[in-house]
Amino acid sequence: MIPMMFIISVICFTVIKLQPGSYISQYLENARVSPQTVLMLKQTLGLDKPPVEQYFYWLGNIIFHGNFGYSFAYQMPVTDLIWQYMGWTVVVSLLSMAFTWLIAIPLGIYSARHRYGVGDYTATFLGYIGMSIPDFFLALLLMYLALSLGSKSVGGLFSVQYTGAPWSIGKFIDLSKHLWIPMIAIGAGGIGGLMRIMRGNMMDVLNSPMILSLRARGIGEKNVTWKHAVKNAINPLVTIAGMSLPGVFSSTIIASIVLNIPTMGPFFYSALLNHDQYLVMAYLLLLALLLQIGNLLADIALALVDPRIRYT
Amino acid sequence: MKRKNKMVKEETDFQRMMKVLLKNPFGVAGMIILIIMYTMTLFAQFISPYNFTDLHSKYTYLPPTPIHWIDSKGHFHLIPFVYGIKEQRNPVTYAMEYVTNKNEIYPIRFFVHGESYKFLGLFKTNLHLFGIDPDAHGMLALFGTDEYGRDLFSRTIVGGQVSLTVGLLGIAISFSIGIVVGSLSGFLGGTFDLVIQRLIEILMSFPTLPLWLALSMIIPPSWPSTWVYFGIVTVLSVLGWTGLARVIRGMTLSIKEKDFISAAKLSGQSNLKIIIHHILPNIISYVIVVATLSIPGMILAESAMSFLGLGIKEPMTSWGLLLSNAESLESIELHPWFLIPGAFIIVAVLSFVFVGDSLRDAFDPYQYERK
Amino acid sequence: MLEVKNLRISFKTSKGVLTAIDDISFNVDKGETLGIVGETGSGKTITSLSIIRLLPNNAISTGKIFFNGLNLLDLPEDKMDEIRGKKISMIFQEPMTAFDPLYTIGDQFSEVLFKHEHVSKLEAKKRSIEMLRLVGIPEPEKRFYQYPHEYSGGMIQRAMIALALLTNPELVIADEPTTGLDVTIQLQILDLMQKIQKTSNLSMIFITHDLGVISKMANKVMVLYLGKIFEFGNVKDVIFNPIHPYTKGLISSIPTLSTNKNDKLHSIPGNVPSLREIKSGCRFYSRCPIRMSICEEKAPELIETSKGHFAACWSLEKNKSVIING
Repeated sequence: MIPMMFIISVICFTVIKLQPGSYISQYLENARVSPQTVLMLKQTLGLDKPPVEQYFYWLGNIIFHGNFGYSFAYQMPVTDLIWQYMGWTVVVSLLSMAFTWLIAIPLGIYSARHRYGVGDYTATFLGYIGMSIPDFFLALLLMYLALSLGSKSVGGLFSVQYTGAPWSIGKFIDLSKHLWIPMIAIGAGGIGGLMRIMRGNMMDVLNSPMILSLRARGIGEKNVTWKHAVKNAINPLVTIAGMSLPGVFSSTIIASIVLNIPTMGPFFYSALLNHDQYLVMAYLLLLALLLQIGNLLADIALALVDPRIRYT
Repeated sequence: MKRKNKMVKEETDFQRMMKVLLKNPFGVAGMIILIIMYTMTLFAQFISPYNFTDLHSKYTYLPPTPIHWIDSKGHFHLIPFVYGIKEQRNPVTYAMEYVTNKNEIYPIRFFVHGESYKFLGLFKTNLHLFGIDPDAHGMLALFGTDEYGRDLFSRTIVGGQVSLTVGLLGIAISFSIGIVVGSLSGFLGGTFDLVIQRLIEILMSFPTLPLWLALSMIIPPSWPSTWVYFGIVTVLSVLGWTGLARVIRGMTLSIKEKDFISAAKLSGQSNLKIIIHHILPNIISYVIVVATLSIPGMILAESAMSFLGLGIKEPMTSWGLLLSNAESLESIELHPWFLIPGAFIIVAVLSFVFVGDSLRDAFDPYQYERK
Repeated sequence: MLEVKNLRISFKTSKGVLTAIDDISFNVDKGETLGIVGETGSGKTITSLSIIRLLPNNAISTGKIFFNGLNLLDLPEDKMDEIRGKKISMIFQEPMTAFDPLYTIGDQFSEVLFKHEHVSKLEAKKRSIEMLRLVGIPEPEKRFYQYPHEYSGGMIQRAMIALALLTNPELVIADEPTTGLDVTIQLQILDLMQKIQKTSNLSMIFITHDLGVISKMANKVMVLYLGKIFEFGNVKDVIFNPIHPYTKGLISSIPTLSTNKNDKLHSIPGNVPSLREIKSGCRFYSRCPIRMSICEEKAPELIETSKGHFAACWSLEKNKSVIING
């Protein structure tokens, strides 16, 4: 994994450096900033050194000091910035995932048990629609819907009166009123795929010889379906959950930008536009790392729920 | 027994595939919709009543123009019409605003001579499929207009040219790369294979969206709109080839071991010939299915990038770019018609998904046993 | 105890309705073992599944299946569940796939006890361990907490038998329970089953294609071919005095210790035809060494030749008059 991360870091760095212009480009156009100031700024930020040197400087900082650099735009260490907004990113991501799963799994089970029926086709169709809607568009649509229904809690995480206020029941309720739009906007896209997988797994299990033997024990169809069939069908999905974690993280980017939610998304976006290179690189690095961790977590989770794997 | 079966098996694999394909109503519907859409984009400028870049400063922020058959006096007109628009001072705010003028009636005609354009960049003409009198005091804005008075309907149709082709081009490029790299990797093996495999692993450890966004920043802002278009296509294809390459490599490896390859080798065919004549045909059906199912991802990615301002640049337009007009709350509240291009994205993507799904069922040789 | 009358089982398929079991009747008394013999496709498994009503949804069963006087085909599903696993248990051919890999053996055993007898957790554990011990599984206290994949092939089959006997059922249906096991283990399992049957006066239906097993385990035997009973009677009668040419063919194809290395193994010519190819007349016509013209036209009925011994063949003495007189 380590050599991979190395190469990944090189790629991150290269991608940023290939972008024409840098943070100081905006000042070059600005008549009020003198060329000397620009030069000084360049030196201070270390942008005047050759790229290779910049790379090693950056890498060294990360490895030896845990320092991911400095955000030019926000004037604070990148690590602090990411840390601040990681909280909400995680919350929104997990909630969206929960939304996706809470809808996809039951639908998958239902489709498998009533396969080729009207419900099956309808569920599949709806799942496809969910996959086809761009998530930013869904966010916009939901905003429009909420507005036309007279809701005032559209956009952002809190209404004006609760922003910055200490936590209370009221604040919590306000939060939940705001959270449902991002939850649906981000989570809807994943329903279709997950549902189809669950449906396939369920159908495989229901056709297996194990089910016949279970039914012959007279424990009742309900037990057979929910206690045994569903558990067997869901098990492999645990790996999927782990691996989709970084994907959900990146899905929050666009919806957060549209809905103005303080997750990493909008910051990544403005960092990109501002050539705030350290922030961008750190975020890309983080996402790549998350993918590795996600895979690892997925494997561990599978070992936890499947007794057959534990002993290998 | 066996001889009898062989005689009955008249229909070819292709015919059998077509039968299954046509059985699926979703696939057929998707196919038809896509054909319609692509034809529309081909004749985009002809179908649009207006040129997509023309400004109509008098008619900014128009909601979609209602079409009527019965006028304010209760007369029925055979040919549908729209009302004119006149400028009027609002008695309360004293601001100038545009209101419907029921006294002016403009029938909608077909094959109207409107604003001139170059058809497919070939020849100049001013024939439009439908529209109203070019001197009219009003507009036939089926989807409304934007802040510059540009007709959204025309812009949507023309935007389709970009949105629908970016995906196709992107897939074409990334799949070519994927097939070439994958089959070479599987066929040649050795160090080449190892290096490629590592590369694929690394590329796949990035979540695609942030990387696409970051890559799109590499396109210099100074580039003209068409260059940007190709830049976007390149960005999309850079990450798209890895998945396919991996699978192609696997398929190549398994086919390589099969006897007919050794036979070909023994008969002296060159490596390249072997790849082309023997390996590729077995892979084609899989590739087609995956291609059709990957195009939606590219269309969605392009629209996301353009929406965020990191994609297609003016004067070109795409559905995603059109949607960027709707990015604020006020915008949606005041001009909800800006959301219409989104519906086009959904329909296009959905059609691809349906076609891809039914293609996958059609190619699956086990489809017939399962019922 | 179990009385099957005029059972007919058909399946609705996309190619029409296929009749897999065509009007068979038999019964099993208390403490008795009925053996069902037949090749693949004869319908033995379908018959057994129909008794506990676990046939797929496209199956249509007509006739009557009386269990202690109750017609099982009329019972609502929840009442049927009370019989399955409690009064009638089934032992399957593939023991490894018969258990849920995600739950311990103990969990699966207790589950059955909770459902059928509402015992406490402690009681369930005690009884399960006892049963595991009874079928010869060493260290049953440990095994109770283990998962199916931790059991060996022979052991998991024993566990399956234990599970089937857990609720003291009246009838156990064993579908090829020893096929696929080592010959030595086969014998152990069969001995075990016989021992248990003697002590608890259990009735059994033993399904197999192996005549050797039948001669050891069964009191009565029924020979099935494509859904029809060809021969029926005491195991000694049928095996030592077979009447039907099919039964004779089955018996003579078993190599014995006196068979020479160079002798050609006798086998019944031809293959079992598929259900769709069944025409009128005797189903064995195409492969029968003594076929007559009447066999092609009409299917013979089961006739009692000696006490308790039935066969369906036109070659029987009693049928000859029918043939001569037309």
